[in-house]
Amino acid sequence: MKSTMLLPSQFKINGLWMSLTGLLGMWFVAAGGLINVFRILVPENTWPDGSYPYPPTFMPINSVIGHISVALLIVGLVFFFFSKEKDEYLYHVRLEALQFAVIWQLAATVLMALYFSFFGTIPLESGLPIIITASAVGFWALFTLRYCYVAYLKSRQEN
Amino acid sequence: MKNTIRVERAILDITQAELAERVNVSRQAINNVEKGKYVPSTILAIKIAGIFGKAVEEIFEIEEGD
Repeated sequence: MKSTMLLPSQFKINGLWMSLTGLLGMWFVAAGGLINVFRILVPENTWPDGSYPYPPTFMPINSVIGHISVALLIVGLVFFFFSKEKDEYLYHVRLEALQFAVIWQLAATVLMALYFSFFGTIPLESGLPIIITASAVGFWALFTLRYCYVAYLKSRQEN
Repeated sequence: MKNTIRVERAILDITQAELAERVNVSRQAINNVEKGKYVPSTILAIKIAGIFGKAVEEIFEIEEGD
């Protein structure tokens, strides 16, 4: 890829924070955390048994927060993966992290396929979506974690 | 590849971060070059040597096996 097609390097750290905020928002929405906000804002609505009725504005607000969180996650990932590195060393780290993720993804995929073939309670064909999803998510997670570890944490620990 | 960056930095009394800023790379890059864990490109090597006012081969030395 031509480096001129990439975003400036400042986008990288912003992208990382946006992705983490997006993930946090998605967790908040999925866990129904907003109901606890309503509990604090309008405590008089709590029922005698301690439960809290869903107010009419709950779902629309939850939905908006969910959409914003997903957008933050996607845009953040784009910023993170499609921005220039600050220097040649970080390009080297990125390549090394990519190789690391590819090797472990392949190993994990083969192991998962073997597990479903010989020990799984469901047929391999049914397990394929799980294998493919875990493989794809695992690749990006490994790549990101390895990159952040080598580029930022490891060199800080070595000092 | 061995190098004398740490010594040269001590002579100039500059930190890794200051050297990194002067050659426009990250501090991690200087840290890893200094420790011999990363072999810099020709451009970066020339820039580093330029900061110390020396030739590249005075700063970087090839070891057996390189």
